[in-house]
Amino acid sequence: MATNFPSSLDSLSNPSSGDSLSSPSHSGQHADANDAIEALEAKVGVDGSAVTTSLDYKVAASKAVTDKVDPSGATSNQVLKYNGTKFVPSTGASVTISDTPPSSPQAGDQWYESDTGRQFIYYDSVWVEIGNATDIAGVIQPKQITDLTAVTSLTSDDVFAVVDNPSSAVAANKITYGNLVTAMSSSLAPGLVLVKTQTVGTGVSVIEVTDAFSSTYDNYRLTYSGGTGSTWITFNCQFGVGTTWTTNNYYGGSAYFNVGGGTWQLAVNNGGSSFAGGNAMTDFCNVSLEIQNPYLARRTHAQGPYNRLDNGQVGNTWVEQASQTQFTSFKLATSSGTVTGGTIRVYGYRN
Amino acid sequence: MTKPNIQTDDEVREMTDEEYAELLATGWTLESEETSDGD
Repeated sequence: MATNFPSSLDSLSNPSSGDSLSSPSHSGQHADANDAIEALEAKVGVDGSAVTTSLDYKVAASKAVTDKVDPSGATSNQVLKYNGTKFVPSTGASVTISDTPPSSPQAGDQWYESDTGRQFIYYDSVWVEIGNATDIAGVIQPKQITDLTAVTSLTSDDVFAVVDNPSSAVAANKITYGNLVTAMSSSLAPGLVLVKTQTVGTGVSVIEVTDAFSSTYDNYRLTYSGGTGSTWITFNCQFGVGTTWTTNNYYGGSAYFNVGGGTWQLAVNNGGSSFAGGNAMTDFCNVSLEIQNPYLARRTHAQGPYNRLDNGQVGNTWVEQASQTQFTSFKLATSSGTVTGGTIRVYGYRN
Repeated sequence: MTKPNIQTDDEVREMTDEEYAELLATGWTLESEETSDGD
């Protein structure tokens, strides 16, 4: 019987003590045993065997690999990295998500700055922002500021499009949107601040401007320009709260020079229902009023130009609203005809 | 005659009869009186 090894295991018969040498055949049993031994030797292989199916060859090949690995000192989450001689434990190139740069970075490490959404790669011992190396046609690149000495007081980590240079991205005193807004807000100069803009429609004889005055500002400027009148118009004005209008206690009047007559004239308003706050004709609308204390619980005052050039009148108008109502609104009503277009703007005086 | 419009903030609409009556009560006229003696 020829051996089946190593394809499968042999099943060799052992003779009994009373068997003759001819049955089973003594020589045949030796031949079977020798075949099995030779098959085992072939499988194991000789020293330095070049037979790729031999165990000696396979063990040698495996040892050549393991000799290249030195896992000593490995800790959790490390990988094996080839150092040119052996595979040794390494943290590898890592990606860190943090609003501060990772400590002890290795070349190739990446850092996603979680508060700004910017990503950096550690290259040449500095953090270099990914995707910001060169200008791309048609794409506006963030402006870079390399001198941070002028902004050392800024400490917030909020994002701003002005990016410091990569090496200083790790600095605590980088420029941020939040800091700039704060800095700008704190340094805003006193002056006029636009509160409201209202575009006038077509064929309008009454214009109501709500939410014009509030506790934010004490004093205001109200202008109406760009529109036209259907005829000569004086704007009769009132203060109000919402769309409830105060219809009494307007004191003052207008003083104007009568161009044709060469004389000064007065129009007295003694507790009237409104006051003359401006004029319009077929090629202009003109309201330009300074208003004091409309929202304060004080008497409200207003002053502005009064120009009825059809009557040759050029001058100014003054009014005191004698109630102490906290007004929020303003109303212009035409004395005749209508106005079309133009813009009413309300400005507050920031202190 | 078509009533003029009234505008509150950005909303422009035709006056109601009551609003138009109030406007007329102020002495409002469609055309102003021509009293020019200057310009």
